[in-house]
Amino acid sequence: MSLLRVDDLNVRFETDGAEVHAVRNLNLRLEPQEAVGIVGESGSGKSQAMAAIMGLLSENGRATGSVLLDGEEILNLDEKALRGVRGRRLSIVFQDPMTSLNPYLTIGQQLSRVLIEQRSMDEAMARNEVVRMLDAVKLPAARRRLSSYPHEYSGGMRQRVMIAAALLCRPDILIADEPTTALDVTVQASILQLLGELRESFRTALILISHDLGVVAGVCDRLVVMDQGRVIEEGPTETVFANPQTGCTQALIEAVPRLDRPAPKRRDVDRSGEPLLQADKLMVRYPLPRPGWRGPRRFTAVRGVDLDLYPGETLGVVGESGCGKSSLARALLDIGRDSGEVQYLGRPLSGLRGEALRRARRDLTFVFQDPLGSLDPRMTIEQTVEEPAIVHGLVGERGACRSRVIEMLERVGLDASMLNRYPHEFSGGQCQRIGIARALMTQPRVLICDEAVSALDVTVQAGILSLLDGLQRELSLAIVFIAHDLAVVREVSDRVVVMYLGRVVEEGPVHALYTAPRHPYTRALLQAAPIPDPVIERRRDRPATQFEIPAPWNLPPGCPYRQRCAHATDTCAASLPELHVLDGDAARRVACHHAETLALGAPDYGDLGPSGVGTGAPLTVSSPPE
Amino acid sequence: MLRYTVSRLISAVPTLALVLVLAFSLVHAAPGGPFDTERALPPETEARLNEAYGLDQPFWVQFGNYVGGLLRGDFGPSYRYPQSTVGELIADAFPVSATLGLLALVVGAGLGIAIGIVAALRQNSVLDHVLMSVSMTGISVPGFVIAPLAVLLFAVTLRWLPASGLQTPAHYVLPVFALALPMLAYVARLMRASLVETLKSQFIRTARSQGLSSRTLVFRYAMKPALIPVVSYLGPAIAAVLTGSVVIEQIFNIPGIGRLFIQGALNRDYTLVMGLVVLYSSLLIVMNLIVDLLYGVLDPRVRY
Amino acid sequence: MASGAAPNAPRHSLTRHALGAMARDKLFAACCVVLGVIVLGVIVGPWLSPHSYYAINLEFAQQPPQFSGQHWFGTDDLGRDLFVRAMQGGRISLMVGLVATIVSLVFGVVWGATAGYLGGRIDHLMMRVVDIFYAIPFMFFVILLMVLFGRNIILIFVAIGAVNWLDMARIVRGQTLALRGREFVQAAEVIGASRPRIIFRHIVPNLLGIVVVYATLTVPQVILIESFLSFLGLGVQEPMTSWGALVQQGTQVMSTAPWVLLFPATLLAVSLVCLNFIGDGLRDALDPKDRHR
Repeated sequence: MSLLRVDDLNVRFETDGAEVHAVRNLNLRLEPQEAVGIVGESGSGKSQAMAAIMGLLSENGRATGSVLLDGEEILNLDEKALRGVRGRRLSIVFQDPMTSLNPYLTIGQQLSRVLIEQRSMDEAMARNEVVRMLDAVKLPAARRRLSSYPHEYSGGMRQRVMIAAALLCRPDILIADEPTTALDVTVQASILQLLGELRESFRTALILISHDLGVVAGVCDRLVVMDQGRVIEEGPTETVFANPQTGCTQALIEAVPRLDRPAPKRRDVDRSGEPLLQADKLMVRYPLPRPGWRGPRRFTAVRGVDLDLYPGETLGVVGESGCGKSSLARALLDIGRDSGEVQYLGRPLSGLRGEALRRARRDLTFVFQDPLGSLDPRMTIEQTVEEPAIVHGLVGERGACRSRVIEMLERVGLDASMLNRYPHEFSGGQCQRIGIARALMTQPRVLICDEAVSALDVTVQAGILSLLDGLQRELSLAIVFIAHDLAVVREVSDRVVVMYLGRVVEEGPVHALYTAPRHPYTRALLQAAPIPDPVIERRRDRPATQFEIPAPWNLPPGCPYRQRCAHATDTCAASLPELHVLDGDAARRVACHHAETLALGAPDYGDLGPSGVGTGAPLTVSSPPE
Repeated sequence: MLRYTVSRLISAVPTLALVLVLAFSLVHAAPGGPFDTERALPPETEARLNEAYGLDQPFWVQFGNYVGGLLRGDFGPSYRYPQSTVGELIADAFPVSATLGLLALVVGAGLGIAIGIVAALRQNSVLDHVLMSVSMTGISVPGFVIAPLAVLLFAVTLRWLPASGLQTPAHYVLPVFALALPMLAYVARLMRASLVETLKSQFIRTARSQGLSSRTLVFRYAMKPALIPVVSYLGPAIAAVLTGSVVIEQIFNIPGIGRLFIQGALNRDYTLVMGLVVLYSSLLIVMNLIVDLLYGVLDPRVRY
Repeated sequence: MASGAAPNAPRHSLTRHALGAMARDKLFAACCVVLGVIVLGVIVGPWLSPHSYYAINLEFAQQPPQFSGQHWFGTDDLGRDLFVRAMQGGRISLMVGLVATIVSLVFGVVWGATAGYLGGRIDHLMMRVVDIFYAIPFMFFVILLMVLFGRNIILIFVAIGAVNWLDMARIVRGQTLALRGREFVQAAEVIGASRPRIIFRHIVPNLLGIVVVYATLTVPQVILIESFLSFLGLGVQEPMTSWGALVQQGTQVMSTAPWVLLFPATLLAVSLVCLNFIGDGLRDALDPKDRHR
């Protein structure tokens, strides 16, 4: 008998009279101690199915069918009966560790409460058990931390606490719903590793939900692929990856850019001339929201960054959250810049006036992260796209450049039928295309893309990436492509800059940087990035990172990376390494005292290695309709 | 925390000073003086009176004298009741208003929070709709409409309760009810809205997924955050209710602060009016400070 | 991203959700109709009646209401027709509500939007001013103003408007700050749109909803303050009247002629309840948390 047996599960939501059928006839088996991955894009119903099993659907949701836990029906039990199941037999870890913990109670209070109620322990016993569990999830100095509040922890630490909370009553099944999606890639790697270890030591079955095939590849025995509420494929992880049966699964697998395959060949960029855009010692500072509340009144997001961008080139910028890449993006347009200088065509932007300034503003455009949020909800698509033309006085009045608006929409793969509609009527991918059309209105020469594909599903993301690539060819655009996803950046960039806590730590041509990183941080990033291939993923060796990123206003002296660095020496503690041209390679710059002497070696991509026999460049994948 | 309290009290000084200057200059700019009565006084009497009370001095001197007195705890003499000082008048009236106000606070905040919790837990039930419609009416209909209607019904028609004065506990029922009703109604709606909102939050969903009882969810997990908006409303509301309601005291003929203020204003009893303004402003500042300190108790993320 | 995208509107069962929504809509519609009738009556009423609001006729003092006869709402202790007086009083009350709301609206929106958009030190300073004003016992000042400087209606507008702009300023400022952080406003900045263009094309249109809602909720507050002043005898003066003044007169004679209290009190209460429900309904309809996207 299966531990968990789901038959014909249907979930429907009633919203303003319309019915959304979120999960359709789901069947699922889970054996004791098995790890099953459920993958699918947003809206595929994977999270709702789990919420239904746990009895946690929102109040307008209805579930029908059957869910047997050890042969007992648990679907649609009343709250009281569910209490015997939740936490004790079936636990869940949610996506966002920042909002999942109660901010008003200490860690000790909220974790021991579970044991007091579920295991009838007294206060002291419960606290001891909580400490034991926090040790098990490798939270340093667990006992001392009982009396601290969630806001005193970083995201990764909180997710460890969440996992500890879920395991407190030794459940038979742990459901992890996108447990690492809100986390940085290095933290993600350590959380995934932890989940794998705990599964062994607690003999817990695991259901791992993710949109990221790389995440499930290393952890799960079996895979279930969902699309629009249905299971479209199911089987052992290796089989599904190696031999996907449906086009949808295939598209999903192929759309993910992979670090272990060769990057698509880029054109050669002529860097002999003058750079188009040049940043010199850029600094950006922000006032902190509440003055006098831990830390200083301002913190420095960008600490002296030099960059240059040549015509027709794509410069990738990568780094984890809080590294200052988005602030840098805005500073490149002279917005929020504190000190330093940005030069466009050899002239400082801040010194431009009149026609020269307007010219520069037309030439430098921006694509934002949030596709819907970057469009004014009260403007039609036509008003949105034509706005740059009006602002720059290219046309006098509204509607005067309709043909050009239509041309731009068609160029990004949309059509004239949407002119008079509003942003909320479109999908994320379509909104992002509208945003790009708007950016193209003024015939720009530089496009700055700030996490422009991060909020999109992989297949949609692939479509946008190939659109950008095509546009670059046709219009000979220079692109600054900012993202946290290393594989995506590699896909589109000629040159890459790696940022850490407001500074550039490494810069170089894409191939050299990805195959032979010279800064330990770059290598750690590459090492942590998951690869959507179970065979490779299981063979990879990831050293666990001890430290998480320190708060940007509380940096240690010396090299800001040294606490996390395996190669740190006394020199690193003594002085801050300057970004310098690497001995023997004029195209590369590194900010590490030991860049010349360290033998970091190529990142480990399993047996195949970076020069392995990869097939197809993912960019050629045709994107399915959005 | 102490440092924060002290710095807040220091920053209250300019506020209080502004209130003083505003009130003082308003009173002085007004046409007519405290000794203008229907029966005109002989000019020399008036001049003597003005001199005795220092009213012939320039504005800033008078203001300085007044503030100097205040700093010594002296609110000055009353112009209208020469036998008593403003301090004495306030000392007589304040306990009356404060007793009434405290009773109304207990009834209003207590019942309001309770009703809000019940309505939130029975969200969208018939009971919820009824409770919320009634409290909306309670917010909308002013005290001076409720109070006379209540008097008409319970005192005049049914003769269950006395209509005015404060001689017996029964006398307290109608004024406390009239005073508490708007507060009760407002707190109930506020409490319901914020509890409903809190119960929707992700950390409550997580706690549910851990199998915690609904009693724990509501009272241990959701109560603190849900109380924050109620607390910030109650701060100024307490200051208002302690210093009495002009209307309620008028209707029920209660010798409290509110009536004292109206009489003082109508009689141009400058020092009395000033004293009451100072009293209310200080109370308001203190209550707002207490509210801000309470945030720190309720929300561990707030640090001073 | 992928998870947590629960279809919205967490309510009870489907039927109950639908019923609740309809009840809500019905209540909203009913309030609109009732308020509409009152407004119409207040405007047209005084012209329909043969009586004037100031004509004293002691022979007919304290006549009870007769719906077929001369005085639909009866007469007061001076024999004045209560229907016409109630309608005339309504004109004043509603007009004060409207005008003072507009005063506080204009002042509050300009103050709040400026502080919110400019941000930084100017914002800090402007909000400090609001904080200080909050600590001032305004009811006392309004009463003082009325007592000391005659009881004229312009002063009522100014005084009430001056009290109420603070809330509006705070709300608009908060909303403007939130809008400034939104990507579409940043997008406009990046395009190179001028400040006025950003304020008028992007920020103000997105502010409108919330301003309308709070304006709707300000009207009943203002009416309440005016009637409160009139009740104390500090508002409009005889023979002109308002609902608050009428309630005050009603309380004087409520044991002998309760209708003198009941009619104006009911009109006032019903109008305030309707206005509050309408404002609340608008707020719920506008609240993004309760809607899709």
